[in-house]
Amino acid sequence: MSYFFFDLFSAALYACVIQNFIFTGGYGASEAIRMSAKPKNLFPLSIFIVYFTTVTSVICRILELTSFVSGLEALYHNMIFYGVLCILYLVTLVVVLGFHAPKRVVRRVGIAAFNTLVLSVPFINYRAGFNLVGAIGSGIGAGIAFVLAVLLINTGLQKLEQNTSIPRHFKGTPAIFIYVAILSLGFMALTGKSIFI
Amino acid sequence: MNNSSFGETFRRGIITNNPLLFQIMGVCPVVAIALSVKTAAVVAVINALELIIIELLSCLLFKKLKRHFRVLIYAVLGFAINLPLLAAISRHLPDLTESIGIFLPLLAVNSVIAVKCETFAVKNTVRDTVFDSIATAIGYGIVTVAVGAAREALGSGTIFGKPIGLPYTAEAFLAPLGGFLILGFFAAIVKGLTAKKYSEEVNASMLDTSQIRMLHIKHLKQLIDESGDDDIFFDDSVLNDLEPKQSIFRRKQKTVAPEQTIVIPEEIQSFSEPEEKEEEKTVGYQPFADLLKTLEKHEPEIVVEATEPEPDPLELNEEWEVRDEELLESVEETEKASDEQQDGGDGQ
Repeated sequence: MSYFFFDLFSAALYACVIQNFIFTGGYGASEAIRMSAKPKNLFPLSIFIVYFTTVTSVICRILELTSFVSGLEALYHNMIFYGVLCILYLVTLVVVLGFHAPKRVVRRVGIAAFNTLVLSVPFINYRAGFNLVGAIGSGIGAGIAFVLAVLLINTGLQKLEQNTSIPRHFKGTPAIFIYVAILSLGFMALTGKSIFI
Repeated sequence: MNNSSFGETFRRGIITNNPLLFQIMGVCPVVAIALSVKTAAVVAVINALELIIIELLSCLLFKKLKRHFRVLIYAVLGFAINLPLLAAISRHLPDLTESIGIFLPLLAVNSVIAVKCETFAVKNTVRDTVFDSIATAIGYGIVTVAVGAAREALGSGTIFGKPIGLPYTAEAFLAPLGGFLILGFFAAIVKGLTAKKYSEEVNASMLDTSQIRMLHIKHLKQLIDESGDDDIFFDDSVLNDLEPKQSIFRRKQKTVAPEQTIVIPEEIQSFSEPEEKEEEKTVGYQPFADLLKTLEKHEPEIVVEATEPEPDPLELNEEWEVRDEELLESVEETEKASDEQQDGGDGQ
């Protein structure tokens, strides 16, 4: 039991902090930056992102454990991951529409499902050879990593908005990119790599 | 589409509305795999193929479908185009497949595709869509290759795999942080170069941070309210257009003294303004005589009325909070509307 939680926690921590998917991998960076400019929409999107990363990760890992799938070439794994994500989206959509969710929520489902972050999780699990518990952990960690990234970028955007000393040409998206680069540098330090030279 | 709008579409797609530099779409493949000119070119080509085909198909076939189904179709089409390309690349360029890793399959869900399809293709004609998709693909591709070249030069000390003789290289440029950094500087350079002619267009295309701005404004207003200083108040006009260096504080203006006005009876008012000259011609001096009679009947009632001065937008008064709330609400409503538009925009 303790190993279960240890595996789960370490995989989640790895995906969230040590190898933050957004800052050290760049996965889902566009969505994270765009979403950080709209903090009002963060809550439903975060829920859906965590849901999709976790469930896709788990289903794909379970399928990979079967002898039929595990023997396939990498290209067929891609097809399976795509298929799982599409089917999961459809099922989620049916449930959400069944509950007569507001349009805004329905839209979030699409944004949350089809982005590079969600799709990258099963690929990383496959490459890293995570077990099922690790896959659950990395799914949850990826979702939390997204929320963390959005919150950090959102805080930065607020500071950038208040900062009147930013040069005119750097105001706006240039400043945002550079701010994200600095955050990325911070997270890179957690990997322990010597990054300059 | 005439020549000027054709050129305009290309200018927007490549420069002022660049999907990568100003709209922050499709960042992941660029920061993750555009590490050299070669890999960047592969990303640019695959993205261009997917973007043009899917945008065209969505314009031709999916306009009547519901949005949440269209999103699924974009992804499925992305996968359908991506898979054969992946197979071809893995056969003919195995080294590239190894170096790019898992990122090529992820191009199928590149946000540029969904956003452009939702914001442009399903709302425009086939011809416009084709031009837009080509322009966007070129704009995206140019920036991707430029970022790849810069990262290859600074991170590996080579261009097209050939050494360029740099004394030092910084491997950090090969990490995503290098990608973000170079994108930031490229965006600033393009913004600076286009500042004279197209600054408004560029500013309009940039990431919408109005929600952040509103939070900042509310916070400032709260600080002003809490300060209890009557001499400082909040200027509504900043809600419309908040420039970075524009001060949002104003000195309170002195209250305007109530004006004395004379209230003239309505009948006299109507007489005093003979509307049609033709009537004057036929009646002669009659209107003037009638006016005199009316004046005799009605002693001119002179009332000194302390009318309220015109509400001064710069003045802090008791109605301030009510007006401010209304204004904030209206701005929020506008935001919501634009938000919904852009959510189209967000892609899905």
